[in-house]
Amino acid sequence: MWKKHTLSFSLFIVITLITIGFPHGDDAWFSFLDFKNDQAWQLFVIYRIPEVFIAIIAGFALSIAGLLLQTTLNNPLAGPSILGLTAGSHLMVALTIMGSSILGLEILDLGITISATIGALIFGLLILVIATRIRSMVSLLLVGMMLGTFVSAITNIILMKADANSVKAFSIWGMGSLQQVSIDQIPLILVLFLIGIGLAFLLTKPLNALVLGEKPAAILGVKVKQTRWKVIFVVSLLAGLVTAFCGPIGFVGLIVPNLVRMFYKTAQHGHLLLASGLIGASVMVLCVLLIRIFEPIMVLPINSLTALLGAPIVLFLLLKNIRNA
Amino acid sequence: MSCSYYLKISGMLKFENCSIGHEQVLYEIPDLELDQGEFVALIGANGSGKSTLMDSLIQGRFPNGKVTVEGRGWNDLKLIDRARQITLVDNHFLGFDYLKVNEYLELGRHSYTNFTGRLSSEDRMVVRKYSDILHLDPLLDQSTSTLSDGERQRVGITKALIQETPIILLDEPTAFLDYPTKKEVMSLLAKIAKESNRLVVIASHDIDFCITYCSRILIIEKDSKMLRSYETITHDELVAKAFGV
Repeated sequence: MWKKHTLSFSLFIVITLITIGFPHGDDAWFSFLDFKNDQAWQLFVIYRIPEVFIAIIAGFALSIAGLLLQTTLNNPLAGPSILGLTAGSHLMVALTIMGSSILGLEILDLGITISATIGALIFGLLILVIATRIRSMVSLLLVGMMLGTFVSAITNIILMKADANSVKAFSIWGMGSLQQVSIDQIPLILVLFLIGIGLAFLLTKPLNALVLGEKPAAILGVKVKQTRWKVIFVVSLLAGLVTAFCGPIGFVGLIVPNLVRMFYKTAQHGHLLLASGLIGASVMVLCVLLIRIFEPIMVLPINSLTALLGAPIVLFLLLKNIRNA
Repeated sequence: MSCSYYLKISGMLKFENCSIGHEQVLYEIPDLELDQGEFVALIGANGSGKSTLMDSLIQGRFPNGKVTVEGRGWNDLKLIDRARQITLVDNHFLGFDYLKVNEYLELGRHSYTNFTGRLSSEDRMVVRKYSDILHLDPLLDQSTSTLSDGERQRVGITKALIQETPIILLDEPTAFLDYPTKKEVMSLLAKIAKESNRLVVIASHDIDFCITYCSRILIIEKDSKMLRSYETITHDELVAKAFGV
């Protein structure tokens, strides 16, 4: 298992190094290492570091959030975006941006993060209640998608009443971007991320038992209801954090845990959490690299890129599940 | 077979005036004492409430009456303590592609490990011991989804043994098995009860096997809606009492 972790970590390091060193315009590879080139260094500190940093955080956090949801709901098709948690964050952030605009208040990063987390939490709890009644994986997926559509409609109605500046701020945020984070926001993001990841790793033991289902887990001594509450809180924190700083990013949380299970062939969550984090971070950094490569031709929106990578895999998983059923 | 030996306790599992059923009462258990070392069969018609009794024991949910395990009130025990007293092997587990047999077996030590879930060397020895006893060595690295019905039953029983509970419940352990495997499983359970001094209770429809192998038979009587205990009973008497035919 540790060999596979070494491989994943090496992959992550290689992709990250290539992305960091990728030449900008006519510059050479790793031009920021040239101390005479002050402009390249400035570009590196102001743009490259925050962008790669938030890509790592987003990939790590969303993949772990997806894994937690998939195990707890016993549904390999679960993920923060597809179940509507991201849509919940979306709505709450819209309300916060509009509300602060009406009241003439300045929006703090922490405020956006808290509102995104609360939005994810509300929708997470809703999904949890629905999941106890709906056992079909595909039906739950449809419910999540309907919730997402419903929330988008409400968000659009709210936006109709908003002023031009709020609409612009919200639209930019809503497209999803890894370029909105500045270097001074990194400490706050890092602290919240480490809290979320730390809490996720504390859930390793009950998650290992929950793989068997709720009843067998309870036979082993797992407090199932309490664990579900904890999972929803951690998922909301992680998904809310990413959504607050990057906008809604789809598919990563759904596909990465499935790829990791296929590659690692284990149900041990200590390994799965670490691997999902590493592979998730690699996927997001790879997206940054692809954006850079295609930059001279067009600017690829991050959401479209994750959807392009993710949709075929979701389709494959759906077909596999239908065939198994 | 060399399993852990438990101190012989009389009245290990005791029921006093209990009603069984979640939303409606299915039957009553007036007074019943089950001891360690016994291999007990629970027999009743479909839908009579065999699994409901097992679920109630697992969940500690008895709306009335009194249930005690080793003299302690069952409803009052913490979940973790219950997990160290009673375990259940049901036949709903079909395995998962990415869950290996050894990972599944290790879950049997769940209630003994700390918050990290990491197994101590003692826990590993327990897993090793029971895997050896039930000859699971060739299956340990295999995915649980690739096991045959008989192998899956053996793996489930091993996990229950690894949990080291003095009481083991099995819900239809011989369903879906062919004749030789049914015989093998029943003989194994009888051996576990006797040699490791545990109370083994199975819900089953295999009447003849139960009469041959079990030390006691509990029947959910169709007419009286009562659970009664029999140490000796013939096939015809059993069928008449359980199914009313």
